[in-house]
Amino acid sequence: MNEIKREAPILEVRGLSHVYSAGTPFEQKALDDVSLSVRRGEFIAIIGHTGSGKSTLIQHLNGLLRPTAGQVLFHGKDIFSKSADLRGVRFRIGLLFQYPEYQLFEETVGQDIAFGPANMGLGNHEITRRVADALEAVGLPQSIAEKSPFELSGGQKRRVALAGVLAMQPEILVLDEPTAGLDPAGREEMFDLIRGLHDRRGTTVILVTHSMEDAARVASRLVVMRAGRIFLTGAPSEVFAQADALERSGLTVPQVTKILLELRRRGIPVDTGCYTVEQAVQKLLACRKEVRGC
Amino acid sequence: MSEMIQAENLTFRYTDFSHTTHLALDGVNLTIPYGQFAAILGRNGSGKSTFAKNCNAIALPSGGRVLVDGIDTMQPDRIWDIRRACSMVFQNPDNQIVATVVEEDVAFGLENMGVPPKEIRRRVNEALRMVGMYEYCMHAPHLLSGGQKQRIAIAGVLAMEPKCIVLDEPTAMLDPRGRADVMHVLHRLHEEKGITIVLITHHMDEAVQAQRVAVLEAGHLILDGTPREIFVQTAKLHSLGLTAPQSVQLLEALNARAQAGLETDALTVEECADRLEAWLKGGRA
Repeated sequence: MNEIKREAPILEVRGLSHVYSAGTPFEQKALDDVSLSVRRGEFIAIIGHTGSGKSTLIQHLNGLLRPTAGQVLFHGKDIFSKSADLRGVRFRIGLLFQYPEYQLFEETVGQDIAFGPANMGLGNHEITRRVADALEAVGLPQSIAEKSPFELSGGQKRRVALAGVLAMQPEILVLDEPTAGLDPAGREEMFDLIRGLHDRRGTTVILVTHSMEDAARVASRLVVMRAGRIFLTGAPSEVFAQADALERSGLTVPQVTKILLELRRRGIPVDTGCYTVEQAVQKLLACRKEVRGC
Repeated sequence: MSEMIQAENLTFRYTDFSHTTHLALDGVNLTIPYGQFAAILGRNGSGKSTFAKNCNAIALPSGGRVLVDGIDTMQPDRIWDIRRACSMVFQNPDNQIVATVVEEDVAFGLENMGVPPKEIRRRVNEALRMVGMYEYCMHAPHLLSGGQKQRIAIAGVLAMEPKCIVLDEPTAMLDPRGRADVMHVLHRLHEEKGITIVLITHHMDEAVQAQRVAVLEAGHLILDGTPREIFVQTAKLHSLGLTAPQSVQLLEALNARAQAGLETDALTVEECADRLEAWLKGGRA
């Protein structure tokens, strides 16, 4: 553990601020002095409701937006400095947008996935290998490479879009709401896939989501944003211990957390720092022992 | 007396890219009476959206029939009567907005119907008030949030004074606040205007708020009942790719683990807390 902590962060955000439409009547401060450091191999979830600044933040991570103030350091080097290779950074920090399936544009799935690696200037042999590898990583059959993206289901298209990012073999994977619009089974599959990439390939993952519940299930650290600032950060159990603060800030907490909060409001001494049914069962069994004094 | 929507032995067939024929709906019998708030659930590919499209003649039956407000959807000359009675709202708000000013967008359908300008003004204002977007009437739709855009889309169909609104996953692309706002509007339309609501959704917490829940699986109607009847069937739901509310799962788990003997059909936080409070304070087992 100590060794991991001593290692320099792979990505560091220092005092980052961003103002949209500066100097116009629509001026809006979307990020306000945000600092965050990410270690190699971490799985972080950034949570917050619309307008909290989370999308603005991740668009700085690979240089799609330039900071109004502050820095983004990748391997200790400011990605916006004159000497930095911003284009190269974009291959190494892969960003999957919301609803990425709308961005497939090539005639075949294989060509679409090959687009990133081809832009990196890789040889044909390496590109072919990477396309095959990316398809395997997202759990799609190799035969799909010959198909048109239009022949695929929505869930398959989203996997193809993810494969297109993975084919660049990024060190950090940034995912903006990767399960939006999927049904419960589709959400589960997508999370299994992302967790698998993190566990097996050691990819550093930064996940952006509205859902506290999903975040807590997959990430080892949560970063909760509100009004352009980091409002809470810590391990899921630490963050959920402040469930009432989360609810007040407009985030939806899981139903079990709400149930335990309601019991607490009624004067029952139950620990509310939980977010799964299983954890709630444990807390309630412990509470019952205490209430009945045995 | 006719029903709002009456699907009788409804079958829908389509052919894909590789010329394989699929049955998206296979003999569905489903009747939705006037004034009901019904939710339709089912995993992707279960036939939910196809059913929705059959409710206002965007898709026509391959077999069986659909009566909307008593009109058979196979009558091409009645298609506008059908669509006036039963309007649709889709998942992606960006695909449904046509004008550059909110009030013009809401007026679009009315202008096409040839409604007199004075009446258009009245209906647009009322529709925007109903969805809580009146103060945005002169705004540009593309600068609104997803939830606001979806409420504009609802105002657009509301202005046509339909008896029924079918919504195909209207909240799937929205954040929690946008979802809550849209659900609030749907309840308001149902309660204040008596409009029949058919809500297709993946969100169980929305289905819990309906009067009735129908579940489709592989083109068949497989469960149909009140939310309380449907959502206690945790194992069955799981096998259908759906989940029961955590309140039900929690009570079931306590029964299994501690023989708590709790009734499991609590769908809301308050109901569940009531039962847990009684159990925690209750007599010694």
